[in-house]
Amino acid sequence: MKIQLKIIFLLLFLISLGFKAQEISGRITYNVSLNLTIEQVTERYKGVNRKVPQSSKDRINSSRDILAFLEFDKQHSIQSLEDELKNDGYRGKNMTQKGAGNNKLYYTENAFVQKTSIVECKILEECVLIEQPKAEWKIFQETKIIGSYLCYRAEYQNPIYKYKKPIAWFAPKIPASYGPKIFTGLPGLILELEDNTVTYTAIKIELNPQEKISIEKPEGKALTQEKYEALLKKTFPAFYKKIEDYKTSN
Amino acid sequence: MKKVLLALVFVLATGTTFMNANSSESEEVIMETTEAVELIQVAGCARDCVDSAFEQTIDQAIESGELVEMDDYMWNYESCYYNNCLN
Repeated sequence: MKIQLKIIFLLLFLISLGFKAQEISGRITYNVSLNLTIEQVTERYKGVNRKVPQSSKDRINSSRDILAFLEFDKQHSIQSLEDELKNDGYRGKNMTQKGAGNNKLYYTENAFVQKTSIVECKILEECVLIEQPKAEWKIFQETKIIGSYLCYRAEYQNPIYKYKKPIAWFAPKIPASYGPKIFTGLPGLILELEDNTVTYTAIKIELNPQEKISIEKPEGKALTQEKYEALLKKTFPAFYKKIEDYKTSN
Repeated sequence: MKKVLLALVFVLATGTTFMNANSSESEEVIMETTEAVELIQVAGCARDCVDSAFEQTIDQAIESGELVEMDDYMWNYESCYYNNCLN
């Protein structure tokens, strides 16, 4: 009987150790740079029978790198950009900022199913959490080292951009299925992401820092992407009519 | 006679009131005009931002191959207003 009890205690101890080992938290700092060239843009304007406007060239030439921060624990993650105020006098001129989602937050919750939402607080009168469809990835054998981590290449399969499929480099050694923006769900943390017009590269990786990371779920009504778009069209009919008018006149 | 006196008093009273009203309100009218001019200038700048933000949003959609998004438009409008309409 005593031996049985000892075995049970030992098993419980090992199980608790296992849980402890899975508890991971961290803070990743990414450098975000523009990966859009004037040559690419020229081709795209050709497609709509237009010349590249000077303002477009200026925006590309004057873009500069920014920082993005991803904080995570076992339950959830949140990604934000560096403080807007630090870019004083530069607002709107930086295309990198647009590619990185302007001032939006990206929140991922790990419940039974992982759910990623875009937190939008500026457009409507209240904040909304726009739920994103489940990410589908194709993983390749191609590897590269980022920091000291071996990373695998993965391609995002959900239809999202016209010209490109986002490519992620994730580290299976960091068992956290998170990444920048809406790009989550891989069997390891994303350390580099080649998105549509910007590239995120991890420049600082802090795992299980002494200072506890506390993430709170952002407040706001949860909406699917479809419902959110329908709500926008209902709230701003003039804007969407203007887009339709533009499309028919061009 | 009474009617004439009453009529005179009425004319005097209304005349004085109108005179007072004119003298005091004329100053306010000038002030309001100044404010209105300033408001029109700001509104003109904001109006320009409405157009330039829309154009910029369309251009960005062509450049990136993404859809024209309301939040990009808002961002461009705010940036234009911040950079050009605030002193």
